[in-house]
Formats: sequence, structure tokens, C-alpha cells
Amino acid sequence: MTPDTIDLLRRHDPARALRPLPDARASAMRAAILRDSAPARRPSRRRPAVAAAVAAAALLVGAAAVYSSIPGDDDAATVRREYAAVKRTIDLPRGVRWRPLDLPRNAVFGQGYALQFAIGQAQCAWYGHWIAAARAGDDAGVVRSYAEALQLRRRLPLHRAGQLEDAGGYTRGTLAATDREIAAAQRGEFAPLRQFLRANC
Amino acid sequence: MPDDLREARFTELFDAHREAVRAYLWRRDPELADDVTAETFLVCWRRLDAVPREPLPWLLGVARNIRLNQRRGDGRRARLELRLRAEPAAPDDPAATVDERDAVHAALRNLDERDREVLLLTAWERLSRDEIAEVLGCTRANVAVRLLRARRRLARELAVAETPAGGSTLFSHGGLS
Repeated sequence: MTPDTIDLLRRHDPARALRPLPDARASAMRAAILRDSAPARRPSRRRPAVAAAVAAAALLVGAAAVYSSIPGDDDAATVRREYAAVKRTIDLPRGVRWRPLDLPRNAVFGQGYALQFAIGQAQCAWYGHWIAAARAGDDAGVVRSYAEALQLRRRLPLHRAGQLEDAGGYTRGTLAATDREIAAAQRGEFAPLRQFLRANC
Repeated sequence: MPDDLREARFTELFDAHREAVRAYLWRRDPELADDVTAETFLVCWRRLDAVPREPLPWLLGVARNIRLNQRRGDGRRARLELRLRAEPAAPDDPAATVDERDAVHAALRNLDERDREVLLLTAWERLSRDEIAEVLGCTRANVAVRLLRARRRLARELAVAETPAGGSTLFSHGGLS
């Protein structure tokens, strides 16, 4: 790009007129984020040192046996097969369609990728359905959404301490956060579900 | 990482990069800027261990994905375009500046989204090609190709806008689709 064109674009940078977020709003935003205690899907590193030491010792003692039993990563074909199977076991709200898998041919995937991909979509669909049903006074829709949300929650796989990351699943913290979201919605408080939808869907 | 260190690390990132992330979003979608900034840093908080040593490109990549996800499927784009057409120019802008700005924005809108993003990340966010590649999840070579193409296309669009028959579309800032 010629310097003139860069200068031209920079002269018309819309953010030149943007004022910084006021301190009070920035603090409130930060505080709201920190209140969210749900960790990522990776295993929490905040486990007690003792548990880590025990897990490490167990890994060392049984290294050969463990190595031979480590599940391999799934390839794209396996994920597609599992996705086709798991979709048949999960309902979506009327009118919602499953998203197609878009998998790089040579990539590998953690265990249960298809299940988690499907559950994630279903949570998005049923949480949205739940909020809409509550807003519309559709009691049957609310009850159905609640039942489906519980069903999906029961199927969320747990990532246990000491397991490899590739084993997939969700930490206890994430599962507890999911329980809180569902419980809040059951009380008629939908802010946690809306936050889930914004962050994940 | 202990909780207090984790929180301190997050606060450091939040204070250092909040305005850059917000400006990135403001330039493209002012209505969503604050909400998506908050969501971007929520992802950052949840995935703190995954934040790389140079965090800004990573944060901008997260912000970009959240923004694009929010725009999908809800017809927001059409509504925004309608709003933009009705929005008047800022009253204190000289007419020549307004014309030039409108021509630039109209030309930018005619670029392919990824080409435009490469161009704007270069000009407005002042990122290097490596950093842009991280934001967009593509290779540095791909960035170079797109940048070259975007430069040529923008120059062509601006040249057309300058001709009497070209007729630039008059937009004031309200985000770039």
C-alpha cells in the first residue's frame, strides 16, 4: 500500500473520536467478568498439590500400562460417524437444524468431540427456546426446555483429574456452572442463560 | 496458577488491552463494541492459560469471532445498513472531509470481508502481518496476498468514486459490515 493510502485510511479512523470507557464502567465490567468462576474446558490447575502429586506418582508407577491404555485421538471419519450417531439421541426444538461438521481432513480430535459438539448446539437451541417460551408465557415450552436442559446436563462428560486433555469432557467447575445456569432459569432468572448464549452460541 | 495471581494477570491484560479491543470493535460495529468487549474478556478470563505472550492479536481474534457470531442469522446486518443510510454526518466536519470519509467507507464496503479486514488491521490497528495472521487464523503468506489485493481494489474503488459518474454512497460511521 502506498503511504498515501495508509494515511488516507488513518485520517478516517472512526475510533479517533472514541473516548475511553469511564473508569466506573470499566471496573464494573471487570468485576462482572471476575464473578464468572467457570473455568475453560481444560482441566483446572487449581487442584491441590497433593492431588497432583498423587496423580503424578500413579502415572509414574503404572507408566507402561497407562501408555498402552491411552486412548488415541479420533480422526475426522470417526468424529463424523459419532456425530451421526449422537444426533439421533438428542432432540432439538422444532425448526432448529444441526450444524454440519467442518473438519480439516488431517486433523485429530479429542475423545468425545462429536458428543460435545452436539450437546453444545443443543444447549444453545434449548436455552434460546426456554427464554423465548418464558417470554411468550408458553408453559409447555418452558417445561420441555427445562427437561431437555437437564437431560443434556446429565450427558456432559466429566474430565477427571489426571486424565489427558485429549480425553475431553468438562471440569467439575464447568459442570457446576451449568447446574447454576439451569437452576437460575428454573427460578425465572435468565441472565446466566443469556450469558451462555452470548459466549457460546 | 493461584487464584490471586490469575486475577492479577487478568487485570493486567484487561487494563492494557481493553481500549484496543473496544476500538477494534467500535470501528466495525459501534453498537456491539461494549458488549463484545466484555464477552471477549470473559473468554480471556475463562481461558487465561491459553492467552499467548503477545495477547492483543489473540484478543482481537476472539473479539472478531464473537462479533461475527452475533451478526450471523439475526438479520442484524440489514437493519444496521438501513440505520446507517439515515444517519446524518457530524455537523462539525468540513464538507470536503465528509466527502472523503464517505468515499473511503463506501470503497471499503465494496471489499471482500477478509480482504478489508487485512487492510484495516494494517491501517487502523497497525498490526504486523504475523499479528494479522494470528487474528484471522491464516498464514502470513495469505495475509500478504490479501493485503495486496485489497490495496489494489481499494485504489480502484476510490478512483471510481472520484469520477463524476462513479457517485459515492454517502455513509457516516456506524460500523463496517
